Amino acid sequence: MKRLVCVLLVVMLAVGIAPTFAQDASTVNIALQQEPDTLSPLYTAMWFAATVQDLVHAPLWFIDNNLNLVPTIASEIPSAENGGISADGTVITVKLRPDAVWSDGTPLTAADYVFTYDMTLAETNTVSSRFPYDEKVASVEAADPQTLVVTYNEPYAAWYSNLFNFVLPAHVLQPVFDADGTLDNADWNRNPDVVSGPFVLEAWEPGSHMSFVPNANYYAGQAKVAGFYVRFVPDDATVVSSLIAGDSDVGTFIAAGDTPALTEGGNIEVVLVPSGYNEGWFFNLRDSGHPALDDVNVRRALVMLFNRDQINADLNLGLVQTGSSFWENTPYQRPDAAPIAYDPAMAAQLLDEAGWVDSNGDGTRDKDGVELVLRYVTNQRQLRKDIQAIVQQEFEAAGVGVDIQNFDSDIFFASYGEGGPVSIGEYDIAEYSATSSFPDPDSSRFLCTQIPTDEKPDGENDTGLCLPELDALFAEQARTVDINARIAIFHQIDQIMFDQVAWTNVWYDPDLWAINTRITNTLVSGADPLWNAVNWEISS
Amino acid sequence: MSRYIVRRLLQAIPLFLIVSLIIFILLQSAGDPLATLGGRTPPRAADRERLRRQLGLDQPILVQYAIWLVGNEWMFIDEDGDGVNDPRPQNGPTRVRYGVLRGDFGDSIVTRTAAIEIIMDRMPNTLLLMGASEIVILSFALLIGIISAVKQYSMLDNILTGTSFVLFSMPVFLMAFGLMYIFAVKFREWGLPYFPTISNPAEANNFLELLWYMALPVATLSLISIAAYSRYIRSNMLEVINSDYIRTARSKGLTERNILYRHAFKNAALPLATLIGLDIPFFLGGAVVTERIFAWPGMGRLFIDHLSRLDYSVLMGLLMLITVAVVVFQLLTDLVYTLLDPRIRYT
Repeated sequence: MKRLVCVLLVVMLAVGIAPTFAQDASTVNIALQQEPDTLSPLYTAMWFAATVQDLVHAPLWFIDNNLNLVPTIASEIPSAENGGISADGTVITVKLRPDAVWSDGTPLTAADYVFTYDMTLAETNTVSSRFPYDEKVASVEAADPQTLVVTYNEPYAAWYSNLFNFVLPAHVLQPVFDADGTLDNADWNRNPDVVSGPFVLEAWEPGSHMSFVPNANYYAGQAKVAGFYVRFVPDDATVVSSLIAGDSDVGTFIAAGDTPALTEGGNIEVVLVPSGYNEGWFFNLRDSGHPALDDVNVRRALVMLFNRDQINADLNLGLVQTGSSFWENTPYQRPDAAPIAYDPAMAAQLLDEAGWVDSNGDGTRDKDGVELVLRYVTNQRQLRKDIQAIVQQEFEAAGVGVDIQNFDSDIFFASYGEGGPVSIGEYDIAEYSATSSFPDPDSSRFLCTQIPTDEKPDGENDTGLCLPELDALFAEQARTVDINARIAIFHQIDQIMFDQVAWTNVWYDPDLWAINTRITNTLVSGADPLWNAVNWEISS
Repeated sequence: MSRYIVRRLLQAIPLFLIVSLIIFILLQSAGDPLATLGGRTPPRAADRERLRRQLGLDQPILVQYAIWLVGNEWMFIDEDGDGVNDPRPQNGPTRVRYGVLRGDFGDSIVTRTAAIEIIMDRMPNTLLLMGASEIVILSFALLIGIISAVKQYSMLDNILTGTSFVLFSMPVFLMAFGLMYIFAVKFREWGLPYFPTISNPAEANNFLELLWYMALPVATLSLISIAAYSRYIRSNMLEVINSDYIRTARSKGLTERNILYRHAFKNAALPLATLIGLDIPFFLGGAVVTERIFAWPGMGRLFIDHLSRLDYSVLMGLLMLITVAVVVFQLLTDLVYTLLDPRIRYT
């Protein structure tokens, strides 16, 4: 009895002294699976870093949730009409806002952009990428403090998507570069105390969290929340638990399978954010692929045997739909596009017509002594493994054998030079999610010159599709600055790709974000996820 | 004794060198740290090639090891990519390195900051978590192990034994998510005092909150280990309490408490010292699964995060730290043995 009383006392004491862990109600709590490597945009290629940087680094223009350009430091979007794009399409003139200032009140001018350009190309800086400045840009000049002139080597259609997504404060970093000869070890990289964005970094506890508070000197409106609190939570299941428990307001890269648990309480919404990615099947048209795949009707028949709608309804819980384009849900997708319909009877007819019939009675179609057994490869993602198993069953019923193979991601996605199975062509059907140069539609993935070989070990064209007219169209769109003309070219490209069935869309693959309904006005973009953070609000 | 210690430490030097070389070669062979740079799409070939040169990753593996070990002051490096080797680097991407032997573990490829600073940032969190867990484990394991031994085959022993086997066979992730689901998610839903899903010591405002943040990860680590340790203690205690000298002590009329704690436990604890001595160095490695699930910012998570980017400066630092700790704690364990058992002498 005495022991029981003691236990009860301890429990009561615990209840009495237990902290409540009430979140700061005026702050947005975000759970990110990875910690940004740096807050200097010069030194990162991480999606998580770029996302957080939307809070502190303003671009010339944000790309919103509808892929429209929203002027930020630029006073307007350059166009032929306003004189921002030269007649030959090689010179982009950007007018900067006269009221743009750094968070310390120093005016933000075109000279800062020239400094950013110089730092990107400086040999002593180990920047993550010099693109597009080393390859496309001839010069960057400050015509006056509010006028930035960028000259390209040739007309460059994608100029809007990667021109100065950030700017460095010359008055802070030039002395550092002068003293150290590099910005690699600048304190500013991890503690950017002077920034151009709507928030400033308050604290960064490595491995734990970052906190941001509004930038009082932000020129494009004042933040409506007291701050952002970003925790680094590596485990997806913990992210989901923290959202359900209310420890986090926002979570990224939510799995479709977690959405019922998240939304059942009614206080969490799952938002589909276009990322440019599409889950797809890549057919191997190279010599290393199965000979049946040389015939476009066989490829079409295989797609007809693949019940993508059912898979998306069952395994993706209806959150995503079967697509028909590499540019699904963008203006670059051909008009009235529709996926190849699931039609096993028509598939069987096409295979019969192509000469792939079961001549030896073993249950598998064959032709000229070659069995129609396809190597279907992907990585270890469970969802993809489930799809492989379903496809194996469905195809077997149609007399098509499927040899399932799975690889760890680092091996599966390795380049030709590194012996990656897809790059070296050791597959017939490969499934993974791919994108263009999102938000720009340009892609090298289907060019003849990008077929991986010993001479081109980093080639991106895994299918081996090689059509000179397709290459010509891709080259033409890359030079076409006029947006409508470019869209028209892409419609032709998309139609050829659809007809060729070298790649087929399994589902349109947006990123899934979970957002607590107490946070309102959250417009999340796939290109600049937190572009609208300054307008996020917290409901009472 | 002092000669013995010096001899052991001298013997460790070639061991460190061999271990470091093996680990270095294994890490360098594990893949390309520039393969993704943490992005969703691989970097351009031109950027990879440039970074490889700028970061010195184009050097032969043994040269890279030599730089890691003794620095790069002796080298001529083509800093600007013009094909001509430049004199000793002063600054820029190939700035002067002093090497591990002079305390410079190099810079992280991921953060461009000193690897040793990154490691030291995380070490207190890991020591806090692992130290607290070890205290909980030992306290409960001793209690349970001794009770089980003394009350052998009783109802209590059977319950404790059964529970131990259940806990011991439970995967860490299951234990972690089970505790999180009940005590962090459901308790909050039921209006009871709850624990946070994200256990972050940096967010604690006072000692009580720190304990609260630590509760679930410590419980996860402890429950499984208590089971294993208590079984070990139980079997040692059983062996000792059935020995002749304990029977003699009983026949001399000593109290049971005296026999247990002054005579039996002291001898039963000897093998435990070895076990603890082996465990402590691995504290530094952190608890990979538990830290990941509870987002505890410790060394285990640091290792996994930087392993995914093949950030060899940080990985080498972590692994060498553990290697040194293993050697040192082995030595300390041997020395503690002489204190616990006067029959043991080292010369």
